[in-house]
Amino acid sequence: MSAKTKAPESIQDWQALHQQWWSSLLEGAKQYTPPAGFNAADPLKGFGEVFGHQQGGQNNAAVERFLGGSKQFLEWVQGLSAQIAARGGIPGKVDDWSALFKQSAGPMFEGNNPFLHLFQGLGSDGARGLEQFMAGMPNPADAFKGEMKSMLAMPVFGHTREQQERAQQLGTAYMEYQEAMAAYNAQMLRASKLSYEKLELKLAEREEPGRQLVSLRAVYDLWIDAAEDAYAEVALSAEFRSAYGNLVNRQMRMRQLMQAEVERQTAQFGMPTRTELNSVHQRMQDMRRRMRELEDRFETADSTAAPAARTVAPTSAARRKAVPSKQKRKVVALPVKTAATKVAKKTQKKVAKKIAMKVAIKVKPAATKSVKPGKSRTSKSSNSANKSTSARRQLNRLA
Amino acid sequence: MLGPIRLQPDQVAQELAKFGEKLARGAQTLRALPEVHYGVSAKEAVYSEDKMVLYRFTSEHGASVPRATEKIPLLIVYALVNRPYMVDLQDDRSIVKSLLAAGHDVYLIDWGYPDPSDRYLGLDDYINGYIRRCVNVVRKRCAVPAINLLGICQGGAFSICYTSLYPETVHNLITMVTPVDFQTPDNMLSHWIQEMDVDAFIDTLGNVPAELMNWCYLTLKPFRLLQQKYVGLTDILDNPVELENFLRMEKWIFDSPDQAGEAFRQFIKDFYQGNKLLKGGLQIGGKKIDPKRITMPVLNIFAEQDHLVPPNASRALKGIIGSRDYTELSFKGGHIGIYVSGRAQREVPPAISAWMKHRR
Repeated sequence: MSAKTKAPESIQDWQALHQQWWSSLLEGAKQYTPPAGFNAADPLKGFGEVFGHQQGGQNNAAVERFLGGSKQFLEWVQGLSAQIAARGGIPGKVDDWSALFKQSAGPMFEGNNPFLHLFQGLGSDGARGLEQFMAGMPNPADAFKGEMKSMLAMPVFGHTREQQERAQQLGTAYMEYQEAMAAYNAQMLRASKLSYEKLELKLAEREEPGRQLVSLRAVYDLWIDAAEDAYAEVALSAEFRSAYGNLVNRQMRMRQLMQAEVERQTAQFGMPTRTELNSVHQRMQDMRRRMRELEDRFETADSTAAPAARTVAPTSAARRKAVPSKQKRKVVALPVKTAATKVAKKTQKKVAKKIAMKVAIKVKPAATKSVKPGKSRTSKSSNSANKSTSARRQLNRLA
Repeated sequence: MLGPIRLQPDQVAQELAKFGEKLARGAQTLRALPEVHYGVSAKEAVYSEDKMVLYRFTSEHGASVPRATEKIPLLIVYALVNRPYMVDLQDDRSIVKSLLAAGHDVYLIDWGYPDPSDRYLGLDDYINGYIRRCVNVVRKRCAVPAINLLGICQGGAFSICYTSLYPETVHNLITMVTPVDFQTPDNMLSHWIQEMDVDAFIDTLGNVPAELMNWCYLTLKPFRLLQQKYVGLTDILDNPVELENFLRMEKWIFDSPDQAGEAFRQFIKDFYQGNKLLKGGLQIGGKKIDPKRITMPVLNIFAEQDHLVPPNASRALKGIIGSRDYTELSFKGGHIGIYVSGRAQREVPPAISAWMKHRR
């Protein structure tokens, strides 16, 4: 603590502390924060005004999370100090401490499950999960669940039959989702209860001389350790896995039905729909794949043409050297048209074509345009080159 | 026997006053801090496709980084679920910087941020498409038949698949915090996913929103990550360097891309639910993945306190590959500490560098 900061010295008992703990906090904060916004009746309500002033546009997610975490810590402090003050002092035994922690959390956490409270309290835009979907929305079916279920299973007919059926499906999905959420919350409650068993064990370890906890933060950290241990045990259980999977699946079912309904409505106003966009995106992805495939083929053609060119060059040079005159070549070549020579000639043509293609690919479009098919000695090659250039252009258009 | 807790009212009052002071000062300091910067090493884009960019780290950063002396380049394949600048976060926490200093030629794939038009990108597109073409670009640029591949987390699983399909293009394979056995008993994430209907999930959501992914990760340790971490922040609020490091990490944690729907669907079905990388039967784009074809040297690095990829999930690599030159590096830390902790800087990059130099 800095020299400027001084805690109220009059606090000698727990009741006084509970009445003045917020003053203690502000005492430390006042040199940095103007006291405006302090709400003596419910100090935590004024937390945001005191510490979060000047937020708004200047605020960022880190400050929000920092203040959110700190606020929950202070809520925990408030609950704890209220219980200690009510007892008139701190307990001595582990069991008493455990009871005190439970009492500070509320009547067996039914309405104040610290696990759910944690999730809901920090469900900001940057951290919204499956648990927050439709959070806070009342379930109209709760009051007459059995009756509602049977109504949703009734046969539908008439002009609006399809519409009725869709409404029934959505109603059923909503009820099933609420049931899944209740099962999930039950698992969180299980973790809450278990956390107090874990805390008792950890507190018992701290009874040994020299291991006592002497600060609020140390007590809080121990409570967090116990909560995490309990949560991990429950979260790795088969029951939790089932509840979690069910929650996700039922929420997706309900979202699907809602999306379909929104689509139907918006389509009537000529708005583009998700299905329509999905179709476009799928086609686009197919085109991307086909384009890449074509590019790969070109690349393969390039790489196979290159070694072929290397092998052809010496062969043709060698042939020129080996055949001294046209007459001799004719004499030798004409009468002996074996299958082998046919294959060899075809191979030569193919190789020449590949080389022409390779040349055409590397030539800039402007240069390619200047080549007039049919007027060049290499017209066949040029034709091949033009074909491949045209394929390139197609690719570019696709891209 | 003494009681477990010995609190005194006046001490608690002082503690609260101190907390109040830190809280107020902290909120003020946090607001006044300039935006943090990340990614320290200079780099150039050498190839791009759709939203993916292949970078080469250049050697111009500072006088201390020499030119690459190692002939075989290293390509880093990061996960899809977070941004790859984690490997080059800040000046004193950069795996890339250390590798550059050791003379390596380092490339990195940045997957970008998929949007709804990328919903139909599948694992085939990522592995047989993007990674294969990036490897080919690096091979051509460096005129080498095979390169060193470093796959991180999910990127490691992709690298294993890629290497088993195109082993002739990989000289050495390095995997870092890479899951191979996706169903170890301590894998909470996997446990939760087992009964999830991933078809319904993707058909409904399209791409998986980054915020939902982040929330899921936070709820693996909710009390620590949603509350205690921020209460603990008050302890470092008067240390600007520590505070900046904290904010940089926050930026990285929450700066997550959405996940392309089809790739997510396949990854969850085949890797998490089917555990096919370990058990066999995995196919990417109709091509069978046979890790026994991985016969080149393999370095497998994992973190002992990793709650996202438990050590045993990574250790399973040894049993599925065909390589006889297999090395494990067990790091004392967590999934994030392995990139950014002080210990990581001292241990991990030098170990990778030495291992690669030994296998030129």
